[in-house]
Amino acid sequence: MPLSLLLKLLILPIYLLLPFTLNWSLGPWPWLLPFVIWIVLILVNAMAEVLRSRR
Amino acid sequence: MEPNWQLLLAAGLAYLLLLFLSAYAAERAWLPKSLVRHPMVRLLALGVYCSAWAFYGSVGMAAELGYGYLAYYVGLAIALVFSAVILRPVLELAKNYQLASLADLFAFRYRSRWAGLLTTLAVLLAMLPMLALQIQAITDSITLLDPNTRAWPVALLICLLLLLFSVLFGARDVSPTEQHPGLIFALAFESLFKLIALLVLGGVALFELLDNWGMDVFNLNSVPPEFVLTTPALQPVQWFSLLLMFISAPLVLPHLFQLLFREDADLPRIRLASWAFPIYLLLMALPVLPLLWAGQGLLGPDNPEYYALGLGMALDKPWMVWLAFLGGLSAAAGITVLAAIALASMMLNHLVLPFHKPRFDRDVYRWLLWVRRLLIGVVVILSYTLYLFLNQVQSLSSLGIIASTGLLQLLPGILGLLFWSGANRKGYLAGLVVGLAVWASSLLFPMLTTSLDFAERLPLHFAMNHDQWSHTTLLSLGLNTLVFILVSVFTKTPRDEQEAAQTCVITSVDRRHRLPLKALNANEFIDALRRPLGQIMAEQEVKRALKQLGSPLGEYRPYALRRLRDTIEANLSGLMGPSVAQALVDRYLPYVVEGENNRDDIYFFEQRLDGFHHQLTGMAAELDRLRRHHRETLYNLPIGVCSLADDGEILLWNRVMAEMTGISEDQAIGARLDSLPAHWYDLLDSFLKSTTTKLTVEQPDPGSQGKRWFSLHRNAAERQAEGIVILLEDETENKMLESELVHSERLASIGRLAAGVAHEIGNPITGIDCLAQDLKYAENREDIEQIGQQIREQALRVTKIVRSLVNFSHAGQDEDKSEHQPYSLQQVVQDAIDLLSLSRDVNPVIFINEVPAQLIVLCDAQRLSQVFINLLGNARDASPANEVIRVIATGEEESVVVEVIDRGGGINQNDLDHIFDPFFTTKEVGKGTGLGLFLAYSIVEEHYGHISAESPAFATEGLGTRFIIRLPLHRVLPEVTS
Repeated sequence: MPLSLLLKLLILPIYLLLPFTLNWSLGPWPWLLPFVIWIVLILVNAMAEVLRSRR
Repeated sequence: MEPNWQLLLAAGLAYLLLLFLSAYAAERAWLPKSLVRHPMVRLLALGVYCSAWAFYGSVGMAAELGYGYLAYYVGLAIALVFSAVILRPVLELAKNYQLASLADLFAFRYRSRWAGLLTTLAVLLAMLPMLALQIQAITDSITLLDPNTRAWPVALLICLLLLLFSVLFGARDVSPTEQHPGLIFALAFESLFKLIALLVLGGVALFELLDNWGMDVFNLNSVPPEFVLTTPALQPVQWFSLLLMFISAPLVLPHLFQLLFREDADLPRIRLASWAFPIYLLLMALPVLPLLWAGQGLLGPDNPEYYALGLGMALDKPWMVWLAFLGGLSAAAGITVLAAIALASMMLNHLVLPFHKPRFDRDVYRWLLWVRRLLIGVVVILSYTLYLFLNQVQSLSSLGIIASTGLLQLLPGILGLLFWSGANRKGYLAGLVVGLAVWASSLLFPMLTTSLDFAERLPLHFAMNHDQWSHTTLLSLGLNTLVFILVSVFTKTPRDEQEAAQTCVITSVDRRHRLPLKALNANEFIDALRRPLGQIMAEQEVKRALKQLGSPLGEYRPYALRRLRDTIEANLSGLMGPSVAQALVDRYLPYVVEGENNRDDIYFFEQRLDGFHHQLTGMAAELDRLRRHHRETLYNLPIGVCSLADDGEILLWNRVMAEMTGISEDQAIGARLDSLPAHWYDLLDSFLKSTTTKLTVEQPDPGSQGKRWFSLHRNAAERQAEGIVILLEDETENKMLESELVHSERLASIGRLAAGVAHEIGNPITGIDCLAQDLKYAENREDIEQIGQQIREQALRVTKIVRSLVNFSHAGQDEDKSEHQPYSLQQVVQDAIDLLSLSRDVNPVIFINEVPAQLIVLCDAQRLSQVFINLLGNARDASPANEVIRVIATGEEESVVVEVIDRGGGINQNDLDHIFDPFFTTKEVGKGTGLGLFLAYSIVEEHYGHISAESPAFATEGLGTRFIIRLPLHRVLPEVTS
């Protein structure tokens, strides 16, 4: 399986559980947490797309 | 200043005019092309997805479902993350087959106009609440700001303006691949504007929270409790229901389908959108919660959907009010325009054209254009009508969820289309009907009836149980899927659907059959299409397709004609929908189907593989590499290779074949054998029809005035899996060498004869000399005449000997060989015997010519006599003195068998297999060149004959050799045309 697809599959469960990530709140960033996680997921997806385009 | 509805309307019209101008500027190239065509513009245009529902309705959804509102954004983001699996196959189908909408896709895959029709009706029915939502958002916002507003005239005016915009920029011409750069630029502009508006509004709200309530903006615990208590916890079933709706959004929303798969769509753009567009979605989602909390604090729990609008009024900041109003208008306008255009195209292809064809004595393109404009109007009017009917009772989120649930019923069909070759139209239609029935009964009709029953705005709750909508979503989808699977499994799938599945399903291979078409060239295509399309349109479409393929008007190759047919069908699909296009092409450009045809179009398959080889991975990539290696090997063989299907279509034509024949690979492959130049067709055809597996022939050299020799080979098997393979080898150099050898051998023969010739000529000369001396003493006339006659006889004898020698030495020297002529075989043998008799020999033998006089062969007499000179010469050398050497010939029906039989020492069994090899000799050094029998073999082959040897000829006595030559008799020899 290509690494790009593996990365996308890894971030999929986090996307699916995004609104429930508030329960994971550690520290002072509760309501922004889903958005911060979402930014990370976007960056991981971008990296996967770069890997795919190189392949 | 309190905005009144006239001012708001004027501002709205001014903004729409600005959008008009931006679109117009882009169309007229007033703006730099680099800006209009920039990838960011295409990316931002996707922001049309964030309609008024996102701008206003998200805040309402957040009030009802908490973080559940994120599903609207995250759903589409997930779909884009997996664009390679979900979107890319659809893009390829849409591009290759000119499929303009989801209905086109279904009609193409399930080979059914009913699939297209029902899909169109489902999409239209589901989209009307979505479009009514947009109109309601605009009028709600005006009504909220000025309660004296008369909503319906305002809504009508807005609708008319949007209709005008749609027609001007979305229906300007008709072509299979029409683009709307102005419209795209305007959509990008409105997406950017509403994003900035929402971010600014959210920023102000956040600042307000920070400032007025001392809220730690990062810490939820610092938010006043009244905010948190009104945000209910999100139920997982609600979240996953919403996610399902919005994950399918890029496929089921007609305006997104138009943007992703139709408007100059290509793979790099989708790839960019897959990671960059979620950033836009995140930015649109970010301000929602601050707006919600600020609105709850300042405006109370009523109308959370319009907090963005009310915030400005509460804070006494008019610019915020204007910003929110224009942002909402922008969000509503974009989707209304694009959805109307997309729906009109769908309705034209699946609701109008299947039932009402244009008259082809008129301009069909103009007719299509005007009907499409009319249908845009129909869509806008229907949306307005529904808006009026709903009487602004439903909340924006209610309408949005009803619409999305309806559209979700198409998801099983899409998944079947892409991933399941067993899906068929009966299953799809049954599932869709069941799903729509559940949706309509649970959501749509209650929406309509509550609109009649209630006069005031309803909350998000649809019924007594506020979770009903999520359960309805899952139930309708579940039943839809179940019925789809069951009906597909238990009903038969027609053959045309199976073939369509091979094209669409991503795990299948598109296997086309190699079928001949009834139309034999491009002009016949035009003639065939003249009846359904009219002369002008038929010519235009055929020429357009030829141009796309890079083929000339005189195209005749069957492979190219099949591609032409496919391209015409794809282009007509873009104009009229796949159902109409397919029916038209099937009827007027039919294949000639003879019995069960399982002949795969190998060349088409190879071309497809070549286009996709960079996408293969793992074992598939390795196999493809191996295929390419073998193909390169075949292509670069130092011998001409041609592969023919059993119907005469050329499947393979390698480089050497192209060089030797002067016919390029492009001209040959896909063509039929009978379309090759006459001399090559005659040669290959006669070789194929003969039973021989090897043939050597002479052909004119296209590069010079001379000729070339070629040998053809083919396999002995009667039938191969894919026809016949022919090898073509250039034997010209070998033949020239052979010709030189023959000449050398001839001269050597003459050399061997020299001593005998000198003696044979010397005898009559001596005789003439004696007779001349006797003449001096002749006394009477009678004696003189007698001596004169004797002198003449001796002179004739010398002449005959000299003429034979001259003829023999000259034969074979000329480049322009004489063609084979009918000649008496008996005379050929006798000429050889006469020449051999000239030489003095230690072993005088007796030659007996028993060849019947009536046997005629088509031959080069001098070359054929060389054969007998060699055979009889060898027989004489091997025979004892005074032994008899016979030449016997027996005529059969089509050939003659000549036997040269001696009673000499015979040939060793070990040597028998090599006697025809060049330079093989059993004679002492200097006695023979070893080329005699080799040349004899070549010359007999040239004459389409065969030579063999048997030794011993007389088995009981164990002596002698028999050479057997089989030659065709003159009457049945095939002509080799040049």
